[in-house]
Amino acid sequence: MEKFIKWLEEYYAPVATRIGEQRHLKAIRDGIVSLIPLLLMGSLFLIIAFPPIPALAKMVEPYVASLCSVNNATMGLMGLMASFSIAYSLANSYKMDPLGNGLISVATFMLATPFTKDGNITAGWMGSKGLFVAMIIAIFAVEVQRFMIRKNLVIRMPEGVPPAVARSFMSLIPGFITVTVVWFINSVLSLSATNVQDIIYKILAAPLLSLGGSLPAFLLAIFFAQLLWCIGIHGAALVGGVMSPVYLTLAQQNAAAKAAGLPIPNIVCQQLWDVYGNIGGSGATFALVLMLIFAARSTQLRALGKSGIGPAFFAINEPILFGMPIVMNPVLMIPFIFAPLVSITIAYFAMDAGLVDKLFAMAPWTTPPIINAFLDSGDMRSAILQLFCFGVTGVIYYPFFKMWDDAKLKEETGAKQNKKGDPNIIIGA
Amino acid sequence: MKILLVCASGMSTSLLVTKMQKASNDSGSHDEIFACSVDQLEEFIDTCEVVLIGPQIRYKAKSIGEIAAGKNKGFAIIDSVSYGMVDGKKVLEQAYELKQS
Repeated sequence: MEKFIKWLEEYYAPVATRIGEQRHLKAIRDGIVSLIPLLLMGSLFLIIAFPPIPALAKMVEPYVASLCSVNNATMGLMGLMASFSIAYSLANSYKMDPLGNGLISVATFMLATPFTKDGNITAGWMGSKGLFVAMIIAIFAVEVQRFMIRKNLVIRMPEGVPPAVARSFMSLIPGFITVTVVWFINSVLSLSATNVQDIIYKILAAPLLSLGGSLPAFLLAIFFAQLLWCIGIHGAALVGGVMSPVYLTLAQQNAAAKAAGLPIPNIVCQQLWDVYGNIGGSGATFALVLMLIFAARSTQLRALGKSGIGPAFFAINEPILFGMPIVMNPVLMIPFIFAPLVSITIAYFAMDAGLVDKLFAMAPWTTPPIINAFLDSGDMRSAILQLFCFGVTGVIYYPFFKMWDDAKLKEETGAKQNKKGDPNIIIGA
Repeated sequence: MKILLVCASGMSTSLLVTKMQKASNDSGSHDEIFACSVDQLEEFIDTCEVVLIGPQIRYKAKSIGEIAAGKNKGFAIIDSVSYGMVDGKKVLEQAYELKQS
């Protein structure tokens, strides 16, 4: 086990970190993270439009379309907004002009999206369906500009010209090329009645989504995130960073289906992790915290439980992870990895069997349990399922908790006996 | 002294901020301590003297350390045991050591 931890530290962590720190992936992650407030706003209005209480639902029924318009303007434009924010983040990381690159990226994204015959925009491509095109175009636009700046193929203004003006001239030729390339590709494609959006969706997005949205892939991603946490690295931030385009896309598909009154398509989505995998924080440690408070015999662990319970309601558990510790602890790593995997698997099959409703709305990840399950699905049974999963995680943690508590207790009483036996031995606090 | 704590989203370090602020006020030094997410670092780094990061983002230690060094700020990863116990006093000491060095 020691060897395993060492292996994780030496080989796994550096690779995972390098993937997470890869410039383009990081730009995609940062660009998408900046959209999350919008997704939450859209979700809030979606919850209002479809309240979980029938009497309320009847009351708001005449306003459903109007309420959904907020969701359309936020979550529903995820792709369009991402084409800006991803290019912005990437340009920023290269210390290039973020605003100019963002704008060129948006224009190019629109160009890749076919207008309808009477000149309207197809809203369907502006949302999650267009997210992958947005990612590709944002990177393309910024990289073209970077390449041309490096080769000095840009218009440079003499000194004394205001920097804002100079910058806009600098992006003129690269922007022109970016736009022309995409225009050319789309024009050729339009001959066979297709377009960039359509092709990317078919060859890239759709397979990625169906693969990433499968239960095994989802569990594997969570497994990797938990493994990173075991050596004290924020696994959810790293793995989520790479996978969030997939999970958020699936989440938006659910929201759109709900708004349109269609059955909700996806079980796997961002919220499945938040609601059923992170009860009390990464590793679903809520049950563990309660055990620390009520069942621990070690004074240190009980104290830790008391300081950890407050944050646990908001899915924050770093004190437990580093204080117990779970990090670098071969005993507690095992339930820490398996509790969320088991919990999510149970939830998946419960939704698959139609025992509880699927998740369509998105409460912030810090929303306390029970409330988040209820809000995200609008179904009281989800809260009960979450409670059940919580119980299961408790059962998984219990034997390991017991083992650790005994060890800690022995340490403490051993220390006390020492104190009594030989007053000269000073024991550190 | 102005101390900036950084973690993935600035949530768990904000727990520590409260404890450190208390420790600092109790000792009468009244430092200014605040937390931000790692994405906001460049926005806030100019306002502080010392940057401390949570152990869970130590994979970013190198790049954050370079930024901090470039701005001539003290930089360290918070000791993971003190972090877990949310030991404000210990982390405050760590910050003071940084300033001296």
